[in-house]
Amino acid sequence: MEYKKIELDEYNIHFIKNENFHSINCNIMFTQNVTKKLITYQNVLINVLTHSTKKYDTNIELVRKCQELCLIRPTASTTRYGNLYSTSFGISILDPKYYHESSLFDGLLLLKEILLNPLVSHQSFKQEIVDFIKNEERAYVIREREDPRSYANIRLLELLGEDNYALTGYSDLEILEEVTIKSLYRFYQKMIKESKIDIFIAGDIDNYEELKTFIQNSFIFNNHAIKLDEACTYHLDVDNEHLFKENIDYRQSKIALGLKFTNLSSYENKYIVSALNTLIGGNNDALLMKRVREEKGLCYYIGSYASRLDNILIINSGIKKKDYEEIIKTIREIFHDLEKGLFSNDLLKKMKLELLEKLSSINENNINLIYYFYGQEVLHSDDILTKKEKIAHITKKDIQNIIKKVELDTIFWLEGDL
Amino acid sequence: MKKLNYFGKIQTVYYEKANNGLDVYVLPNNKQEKYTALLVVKYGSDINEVKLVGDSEFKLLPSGIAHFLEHKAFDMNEGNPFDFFGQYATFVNASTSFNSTKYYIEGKKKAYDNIDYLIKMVFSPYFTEDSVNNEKSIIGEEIKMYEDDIEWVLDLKAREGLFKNIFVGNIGGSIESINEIDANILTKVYETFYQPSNMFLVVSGKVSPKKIIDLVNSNKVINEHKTKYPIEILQKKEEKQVVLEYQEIYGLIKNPKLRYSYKFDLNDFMVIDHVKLKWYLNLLFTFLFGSGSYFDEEIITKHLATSFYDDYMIRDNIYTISFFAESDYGDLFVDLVDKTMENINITEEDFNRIKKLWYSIIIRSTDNIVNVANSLVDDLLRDEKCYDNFDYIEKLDYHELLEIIHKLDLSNKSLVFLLPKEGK
Repeated sequence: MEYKKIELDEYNIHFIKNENFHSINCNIMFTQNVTKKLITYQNVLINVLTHSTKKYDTNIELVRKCQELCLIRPTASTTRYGNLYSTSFGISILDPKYYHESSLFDGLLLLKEILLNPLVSHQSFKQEIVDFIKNEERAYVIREREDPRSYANIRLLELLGEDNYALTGYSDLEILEEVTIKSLYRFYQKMIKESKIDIFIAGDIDNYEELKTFIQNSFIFNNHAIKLDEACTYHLDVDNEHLFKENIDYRQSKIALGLKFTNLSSYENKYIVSALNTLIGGNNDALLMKRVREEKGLCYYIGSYASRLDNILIINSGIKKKDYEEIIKTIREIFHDLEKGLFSNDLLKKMKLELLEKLSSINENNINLIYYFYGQEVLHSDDILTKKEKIAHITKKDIQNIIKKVELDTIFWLEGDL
Repeated sequence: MKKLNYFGKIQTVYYEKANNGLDVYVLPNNKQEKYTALLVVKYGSDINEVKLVGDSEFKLLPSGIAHFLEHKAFDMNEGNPFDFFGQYATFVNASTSFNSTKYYIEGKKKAYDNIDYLIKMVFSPYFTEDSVNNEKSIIGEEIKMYEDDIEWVLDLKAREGLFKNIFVGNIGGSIESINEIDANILTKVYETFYQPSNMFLVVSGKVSPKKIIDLVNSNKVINEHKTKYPIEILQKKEEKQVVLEYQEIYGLIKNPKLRYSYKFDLNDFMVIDHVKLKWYLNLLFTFLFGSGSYFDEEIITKHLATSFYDDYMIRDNIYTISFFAESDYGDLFVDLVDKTMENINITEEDFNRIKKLWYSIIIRSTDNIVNVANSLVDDLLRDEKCYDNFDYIEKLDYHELLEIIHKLDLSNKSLVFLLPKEGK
């Protein structure tokens, strides 16, 4: 694998040469400071832009063009990274070695068409398309809230993120109602003109100069990126635990626990947060699964995930109503044992190995490689060698120390159990 | 080992039947660091009436027993298998479907040791009353989790409307049925179905085919389980007609949803090669209902649904296409599906464009060793053979497709509406 970055006035181009795959991926990433409005607008915008363009003015035309080029439909996605928001547009092109019709340049022109020649007139998107996408988005939000497992997580994040409204990533239904064909266009302009832009091309490429010239001539955004905030959110000390309870007409109860990290060092934030998550709930062999499911038979699923940029750790499970106290007690015991160092060196070793294996997965496909270099570019993540070294040196003491800096903030209990 | 093309020359598959009767398939890919292995038992939730080892009569099994066995495979007398896999950061899991149970691992280190241990794990049954009772509690929570999922309930009802003998019920069983399960019946069912000749192994990634077959041939635990008993299942042929044409159910939802399905008998098409016939039908429905179809465009312009997709189910000679939609205008959505099916107009250009697209999708899919292995497992379970997918696509002929279109029987349909409870 070979990496080359070219810094231009408007954007950076990142070339990642890798001969292991049959495709070449190109992703254009727009990074902005997150706001509540931005999340909803971008959720609509990505679907409007990839629906049709001025040249291919129906979805049928756009999809057929993709099929002619042997492209799978262009992808678009949004991701929140703490206080930053990334909007990505991507295409996957079959390596021309395997199918002569496929061409990286044709694919790039199609991406240009989607981003820079949208179906717009009088500074407005097409009403019919925006209405349809808004309806889809509204229905999606409602659907997610109707699923008890997902609802418990959404409610927890809403309750946990008093100041950081953006935790869930779902569209806000009130803001969604305010989206018009004109206001959406303004957000489109904002994305093009004010974002930090990075263009990534990963695959078996070597004609860097030719590609650079082609990209420079094709992608002109007239962009003046605004300064990005720091990605990480920090919490003040957590005072009391809060318990919120709702009842539902379902057979199983759900619990979601939100914990906050305070006063972490950069090393702890980058490495020990995910180490702790892996130990307690990151896989089928983690402590929560072992103690709550396998030893006590109290649930089918229990797990955790951590967001280092939000400095939070979430635990969730589906339980019997009567087992609530027992499960909370067991979770507390796990944290207590970790703080006292009552866990084996074997467990520590397995956790480190798993983190190292996850790191090596960046080589499994072009997209993983793109996101690895995006992390370095925007989130200032360490390079892989540094990461490997830091993980290899994680100690029991590190785990014991971070437990002292994580506090249970909120429990959301969705009580079912009919 | 026998060498075959799986995706033309881009992906080769090596096959050999091991000494103990296990069919072994290896798809090497040395560009990847990773490997995956799936040990598959041809036993799933649809198989429920069988002569168990030592019995002379057919016995109706409690539903959910295949899934129960899957859970219990992770309980070994010598300890927790996660302890072994965890030392190499190997991911291990399992799943049960209507016709199979799969045990699978993914990893980058010590492939041969891990595959050897996966086989050992599956062939080391360990059932005690205490551990079986503990598992009932865990599975009970899994059943409740699914029953609370309203779209899962809609899917269940759609299957009840379509099928009498296949794809039936909840794979995990019910709280009542799993309470009938004990260590004794688990042992008998295990001995009946977990025999090497009723199983196969698929390995993909950075591995040597020879080393894989050698390890299967020399694995002591599997050799102790060499096929001993014939498997006798009460075969129930699926009926051609749908069971229920119309159902309405109610749930805690805001937006109405539906599942609308067509059921076809592949024997009606007079095409001898059913694998080829399935490719034709898949191609046709991709054109009619896939992304960028006229159907898609009409849904968008007329706001007929906020979310929709289609999926296929295939078993023996039965093929169904089923549409899921979330829609306030369910009747209009159903009408549009019917009209699209009744007025098929696919040109040779459309036909060739989709064929070309499929090639490119398949070539790209070979980069993912997990997808490749799962694709072969699906082929083996559905079509009971390993074949060159490229060869099939290449042989698809536009004029033959037109003949198939003429033979589509569009009268055999089943519809389920899921409506808001409060609107009842």
